[in-house]
Amino acid sequence: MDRETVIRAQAGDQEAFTRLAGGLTPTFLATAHRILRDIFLAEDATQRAMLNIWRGLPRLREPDRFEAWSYRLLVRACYSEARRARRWAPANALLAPDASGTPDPARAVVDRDELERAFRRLSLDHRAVVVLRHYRHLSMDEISNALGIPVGTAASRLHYAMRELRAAVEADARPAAGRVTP
Amino acid sequence: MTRGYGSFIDAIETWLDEPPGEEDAESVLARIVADLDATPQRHSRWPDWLLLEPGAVLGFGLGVVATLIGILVGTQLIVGTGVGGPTRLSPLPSMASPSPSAALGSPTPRLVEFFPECPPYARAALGTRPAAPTERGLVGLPPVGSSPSTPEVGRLVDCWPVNGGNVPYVGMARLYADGRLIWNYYFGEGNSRSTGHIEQRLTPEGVELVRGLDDLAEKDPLRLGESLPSTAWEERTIRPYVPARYGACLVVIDGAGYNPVLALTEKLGMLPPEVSGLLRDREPVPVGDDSYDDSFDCLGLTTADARRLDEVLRDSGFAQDEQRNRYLLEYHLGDGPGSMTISIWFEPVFPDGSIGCSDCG
Repeated sequence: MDRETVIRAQAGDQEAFTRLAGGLTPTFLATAHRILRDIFLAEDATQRAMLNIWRGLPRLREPDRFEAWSYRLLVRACYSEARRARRWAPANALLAPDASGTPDPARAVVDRDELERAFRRLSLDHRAVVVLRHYRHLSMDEISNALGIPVGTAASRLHYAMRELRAAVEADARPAAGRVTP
Repeated sequence: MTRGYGSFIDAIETWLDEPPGEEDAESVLARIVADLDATPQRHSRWPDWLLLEPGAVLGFGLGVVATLIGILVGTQLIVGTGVGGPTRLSPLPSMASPSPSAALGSPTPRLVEFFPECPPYARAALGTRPAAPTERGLVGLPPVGSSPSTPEVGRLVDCWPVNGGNVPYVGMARLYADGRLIWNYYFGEGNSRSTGHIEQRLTPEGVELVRGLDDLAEKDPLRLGESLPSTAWEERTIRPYVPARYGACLVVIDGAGYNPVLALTEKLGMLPPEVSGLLRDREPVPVGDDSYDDSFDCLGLTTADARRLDEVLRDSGFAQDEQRNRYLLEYHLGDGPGSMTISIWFEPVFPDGSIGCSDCG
């Protein structure tokens, strides 16, 4: 991220901020979409995050940390949108595991539906760390900065998230109890 | 199904690379850019010295001076005229014989009923609007003996952000089923001014008229004062809104300027025992709009407890900020630039049990 542009945006230069936003929005939208699994919530989270970035820029003391700081606001915006969805639309299926579909135990590769179901069972904390690591390919240090948590906590969240994800995928693919597969 | 961990990670990464659906970043960006004009930048919740580069300790000394001035000026402003400047203040709501429970506020947590969560400040309507009122609401805690707005609990039926013109002043208007219209304008850090929270009262007809307005510009409280018929008003006079309860809000800022998301217990652990003792075991107060994120905690206090906390904060070495105290009663405790600081400030609790943000915009 261009430091000069960040500094100009901090001083209230809307053109500079628009340039920053132009670079960040597609990435933020894609990241939020993967965490929330809902494009409308992801759009709202991205918009909320970008406007919070604009509002909060003057208080950012180190322009070099802009990217990590902005990721933190994005993740928080994702949390807020998910909470809002829960508060106002309790029937919203966003956070509920999709129980439809019957797994085919014969498949040897992880299928997208299994992953989708397994991923939706994760908490937002776990989803965020998985997406930042395995989609954005951030280092553990960067994830720690982006989430505002110690590196050890980030690593442990990732470990448990992946373990949970794998267990869920395997459970999903396992034949139902009582059924014997030849 | 068993497979190697490496191939499992490959599968996850391949799956994550595929978008779960269509993404239209351009339209999102267009909305962001369209909202910029209505989204003034916020500078900080802490004094200027915290934003100086580490080592600029001069600011710390200025903070101490600001504390003294802040206490003097703040006291004058709060008790005297509400907000800085020689403004005319409408009389406070009746000072006569407040009921004991009203004067102290209810000690029990109240039912919170949101309708709906107030929209983001960024959605405020733009355009010209009448001049700012000279009447002012309260900033900080009310004068001793003033009666809180009644009834203590009210059902929020509408809520909308207010804004206008080219100056970034923003506020929130809240309309209650009992006719109370409570609103404020915050004029930005640069102007260091706020109307404080103001109360007017509508008749049932007025409530319905306002609820029927779709255009946010028409719902600007100052414009309503001119546009609504006299039958819509039970009390058109602008008066300070005197809450029965306050939210004591806490946020921590780390040396790099972040607000870390900390558990409330961690925040309380950073406070002197005489301060944390007054805040421990308090019910959290919900925030009724988009002003705070998870790094903030707000705890409900009766007005009497808020006064006690105010005294203890002053006695415990918390600094005040002269400029910010023109629109907010706020204290800071920290070791100077580059270190962790904790801020505590007071927000009025509205009749629906939520709080807003006195300096948002």
